[in-house]
Amino acid sequence: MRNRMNQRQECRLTVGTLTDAMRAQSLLSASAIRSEIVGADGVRERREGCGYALTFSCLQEGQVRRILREAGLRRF
Amino acid sequence: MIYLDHAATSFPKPREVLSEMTRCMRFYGGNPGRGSHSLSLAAAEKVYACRRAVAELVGSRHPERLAFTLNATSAINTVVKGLLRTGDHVLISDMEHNAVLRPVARLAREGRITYTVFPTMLLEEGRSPARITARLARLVRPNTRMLICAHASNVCSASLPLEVLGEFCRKRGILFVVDAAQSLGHLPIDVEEMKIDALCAPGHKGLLGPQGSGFFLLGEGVEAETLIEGGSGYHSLEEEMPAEMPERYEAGTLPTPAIAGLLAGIGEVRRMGIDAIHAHECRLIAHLARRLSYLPEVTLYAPQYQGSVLSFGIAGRSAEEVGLALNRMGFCVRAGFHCSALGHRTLGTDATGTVRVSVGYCTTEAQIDALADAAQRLCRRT
Repeated sequence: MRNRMNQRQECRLTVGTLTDAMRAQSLLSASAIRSEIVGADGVRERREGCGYALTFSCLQEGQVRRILREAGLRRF
Repeated sequence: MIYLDHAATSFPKPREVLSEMTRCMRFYGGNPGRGSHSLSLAAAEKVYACRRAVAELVGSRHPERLAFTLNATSAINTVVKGLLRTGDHVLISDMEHNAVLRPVARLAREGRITYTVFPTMLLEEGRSPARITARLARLVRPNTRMLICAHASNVCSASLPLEVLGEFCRKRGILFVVDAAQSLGHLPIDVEEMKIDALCAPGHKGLLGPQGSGFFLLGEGVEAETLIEGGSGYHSLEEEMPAEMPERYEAGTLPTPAIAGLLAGIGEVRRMGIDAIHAHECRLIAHLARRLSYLPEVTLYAPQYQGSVLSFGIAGRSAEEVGLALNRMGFCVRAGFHCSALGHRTLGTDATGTVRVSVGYCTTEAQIDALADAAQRLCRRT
């Protein structure tokens, strides 16, 4: 899992496939966690993932990791 | 025209399907997964929503294991050629469409596999799931790797007991592949309960989507080789297709407008209810069978089965002649062999073909009566 925190306390996960990103967003939404799919930031993130990233509030990072892990989304 | 060829493709499509396709092409027609701009993401969201809708409809918890294809035939080809290995033996039913027979026969011709056609006992007295599997058991070999069957025939209304066949295959470690071209949207399917390893279906028939939409859904742990390779939208610097589903099997641009239309079609199927659609179609086909049975010149083929399809013939006239005559009288029906050499052999109609009437969600009893009246007029002319 790769994440970075920017100045606005927004965490960012590089995603393996866009479908996984959609699935993750849907799972998080079901747990009332707001997330957004955004374009990859930089060449490295683009090479390691699918060209997209998932962003969400860092305050919910632990919960996000748990939900995605339990759903078998291990590619994050 | 009265359209009675829903087994070929459903028509007309619901208004909602047309509206959604138009909306797609006007407002969110980006290329899904090919850029991080908002229209690409909007298209990708719609594609994912359709994956979810299909997965939910067939009882799968894994929308990511659903890959879109052009139609059921391309789905079946990917599954068959992607899963089978040299030396494998395959079982296919005696009512298969050429979409199953031809890819399997080609692999056999090339000496890569062998296959056996198993009897579905369509016309036999005392047909039962237990008797079908008893016969099937005698055909299994140590190298039998896959069983492929149509859920429902496209020549008559017979269907196969998927729960029983799924259990049969799971117990023996045989991959269970189902062609749901004639059943999805007409009959309930649950891939978990039925132990289906690969489900192949079109979007443009019972699901009321547009032509150009189809898919296959692979069970957990079922991994097929790719049939075509190309751009996947990511890992662009690598020579290999990505390992992950569904992108692994979706080389090139997806038909987003067709997928958006399919999503709307599924919405309509859910709104009407599969059980209600099935009951409606069974009632119409039973009514047609009853009307035609009063005509001594008419032969009905396997009318004992309930469903959305009825095949018949008129003495002294070829199937094609009857089909053309009915077309001139304002009806769209299918005449001939319906791309099913095996099905016709099983029904005993491989020399003559049949006239096939197939109904759908929007067919009315008045339309069926009009067809029966037309058939009666044709009989008087023979």
